[in-house]
Amino acid sequence: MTIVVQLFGPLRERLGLDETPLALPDGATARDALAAFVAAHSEAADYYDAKTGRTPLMLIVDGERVALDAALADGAALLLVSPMAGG
Amino acid sequence: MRWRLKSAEELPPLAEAQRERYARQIMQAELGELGQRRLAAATALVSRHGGLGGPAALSLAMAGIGKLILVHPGRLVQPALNRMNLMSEAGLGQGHSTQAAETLKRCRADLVVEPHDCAVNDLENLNEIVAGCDVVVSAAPTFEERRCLHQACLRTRTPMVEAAMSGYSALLFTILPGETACLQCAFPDDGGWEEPFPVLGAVAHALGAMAALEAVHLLTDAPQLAGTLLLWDAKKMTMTRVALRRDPQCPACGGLD
Ligand SMILES: [Zn+2]
Repeated sequence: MTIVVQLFGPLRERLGLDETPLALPDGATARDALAAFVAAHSEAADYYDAKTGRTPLMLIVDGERVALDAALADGAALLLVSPMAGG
Repeated sequence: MRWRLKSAEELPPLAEAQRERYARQIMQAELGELGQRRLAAATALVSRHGGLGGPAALSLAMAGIGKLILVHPGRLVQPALNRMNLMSEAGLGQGHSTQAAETLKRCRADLVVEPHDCAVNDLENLNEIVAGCDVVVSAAPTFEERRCLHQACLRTRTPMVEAAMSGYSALLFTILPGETACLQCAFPDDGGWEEPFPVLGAVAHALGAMAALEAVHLLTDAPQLAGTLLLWDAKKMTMTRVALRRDPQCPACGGLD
């Protein structure tokens, strides 16, 4: 299946990327998507620690915050919001 | 103090000059004369009033808020002049809050302003100051200042409007301590946030005006973003609302009720 990863906040600026498609095995979770995304974008490495499963990102699907173990559907848009404090 | 609207009996009447000055917003049914009286009796603290908090403070002043407490450290430098609209070239090298207070007083002579040329975390009596506020607008460029202010808001049960941006990404939500998700529930980790971050004045100004609008909603009627995160993509010009739930295990607000 294929989902779209959308970026919001400093991570978007760092990668110079608004959104990108991501191919995943069927039944993949948000954790799988995050791991695959970070593997494909090494500049995002500090936003996901595969060992501990920790991430500072807020993960959103269809306007709902989701946990890392949430299953994703084909065509889903996964919004990754990185913390920001700009003012 | 837990958020609640003041009743008509608790509020002084408007003076004729106030009725005239604010006529165009009093005619807004949701605000009305009672809302205007609530604004006139309200105190707001704005933590940093640069590109984001400056327009928020200006909007609140123009709307007729009773008192503004301005907190901003450091002295004005040239690269701030692309966005800090309470500042001017003549103020280069001067303290931000003193200057902002002068700008706001020129717009509205009867505004009560309390400037502090320092950061919130430098205020020894921060809890006491925040306890005297009806709302706090969090608009500093560091998580250190935001979390310090947030702590004071949780401790004193003071509503906080959290507004933050970076480049074309902007977010806004309201925290009613003990009732809705707090800053820690929303973002437990700073995610390596660091300055400087990209900022175009128009993005910061628009978000600042939205933060002021949310504060006006909160002070006169009801907050619209309590427990709801508003994400504004200023590049695509889209907005997304996301429900925020309290984390029962939250180390900051888990024990609050
Ligand atoms: Zn919390």
